[in-house]
Amino acid sequence: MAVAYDDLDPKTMRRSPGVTYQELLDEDSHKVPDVLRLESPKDMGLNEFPVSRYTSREWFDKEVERLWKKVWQYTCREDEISEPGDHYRYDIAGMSFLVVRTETGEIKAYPNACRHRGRLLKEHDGNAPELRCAFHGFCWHLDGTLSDIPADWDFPQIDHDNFNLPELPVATWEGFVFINPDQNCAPFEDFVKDLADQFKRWNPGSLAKVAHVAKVMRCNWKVAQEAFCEAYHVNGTHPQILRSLGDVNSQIDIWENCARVITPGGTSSPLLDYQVSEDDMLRATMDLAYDAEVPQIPEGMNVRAFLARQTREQLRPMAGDRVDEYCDAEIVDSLDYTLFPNFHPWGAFNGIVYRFRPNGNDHRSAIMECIMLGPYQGERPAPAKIHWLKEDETWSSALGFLGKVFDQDAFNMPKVQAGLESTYSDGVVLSGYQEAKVRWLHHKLTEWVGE
Amino acid sequence: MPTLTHPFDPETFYELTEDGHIRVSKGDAEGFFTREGVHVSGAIRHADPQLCVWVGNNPGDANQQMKEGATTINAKRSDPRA
Repeated sequence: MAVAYDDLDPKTMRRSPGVTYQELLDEDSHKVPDVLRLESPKDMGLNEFPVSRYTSREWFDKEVERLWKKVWQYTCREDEISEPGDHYRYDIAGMSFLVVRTETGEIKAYPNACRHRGRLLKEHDGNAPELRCAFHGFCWHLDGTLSDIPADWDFPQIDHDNFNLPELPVATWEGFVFINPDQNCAPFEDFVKDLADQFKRWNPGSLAKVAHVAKVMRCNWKVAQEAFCEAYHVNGTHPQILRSLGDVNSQIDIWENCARVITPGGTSSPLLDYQVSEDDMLRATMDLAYDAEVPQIPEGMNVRAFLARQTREQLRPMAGDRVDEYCDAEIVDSLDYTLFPNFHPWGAFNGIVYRFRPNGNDHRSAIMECIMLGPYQGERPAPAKIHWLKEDETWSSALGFLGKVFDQDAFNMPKVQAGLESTYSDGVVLSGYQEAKVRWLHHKLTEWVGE
Repeated sequence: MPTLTHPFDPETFYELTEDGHIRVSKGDAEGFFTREGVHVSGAIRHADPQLCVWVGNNPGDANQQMKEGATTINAKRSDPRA
């Protein structure tokens, strides 16, 4: 049963000193779209959430049964299985599924298990004309119907018309393929509605997957995920960008099944007790030395408009004149959405998508992934294949500047897990507003998994 | 790697040395730290570990690759699940 949260009044609710996000939008050099004018602050309470959610095997097992076996979850992009026979192996919490493009162009999903003795049907992503088990050769057509049982005289008990692969619910949204392990689940359209309504303008289905980087992190999947669900951590984890990021000016909006944190760029943190010059804002944005020369901002233009103008010109060769339709905020700010439980697409051209999930059945390790979507001209480029980082490899080695930021988050993760295993506290303390998306995730987990 | 000042303490400088340590200086005092912020030598004995992580992290050519098109970085590695 979904919980209804009380609305907060943006004008009277407790908030950071300094400019509001909506006031920053008032200064935009372009027309601001309605989606950024939405405000949905909620009273998420001030309660603590149990530490055991991150440390307990029992809690993890409940998550598997009540969440991962029941919830809609992102698997791959449609163009990763564009041809008949293309298949994608999706693993979650010790379970494996196959997402398959059939001869008729449909997408189907099955448990990745032979109905004979249970072997995985496919260990790898790839293309095959049929789904034949490598153990004894039982075989199914791409549409899941039984194709062949070698020496079938020895299986008189099998009804060939009733030995198909079990079909799982499949849905697509903006090029993303979702499956639900629960064959009796609620419709995807209801699940994704809040998010889909807001992304119509940005049309991520028109973008190509240009990078996909993954790494096993030594922490519970929620520790990794929650590091990307608020901007409050910027002062401790990413101090170098405080001069150019309105960390505690972030606007947090909560809906039923999705939430967002919008963090403004090109404005300095209210946590700094001095006036930051425009030059220092640019140095922080561009990762330049404290005394480096910076471009001159034209008279009458603010930093946000200047950064947006520069970025529009960088994007124009690939994105075309569509860049002129996007306001400064869409270019400069972090529009970080989350669809419960673990899918994190950014809005506008930023094209970042995070996914966090348990690493197999280990409740103390997680798979963190960053998928980058980008505009393109001409023929759609082939989707980037996943690139797994080894334990000693940095995110920056694959993703450059963005990866440097992730490396700071990753620096915390195993230490957070170790601390949670050591604390004498029963609960995790969260702020009321800035960490409201983390609260929302935990309230949702309570709905799905229990206390 | 650029020399940065700490936003909460703009008089303190962080820079990467040629031997891979982070030099932290304030006025005439200095200290040297690992890239994870562990003190190695010098009178300044404490540094912000996250700024050490940042200053010590050199993406090499990955930044350029991302600008050129991130597809160049993929497909070089195999899937460790295999």
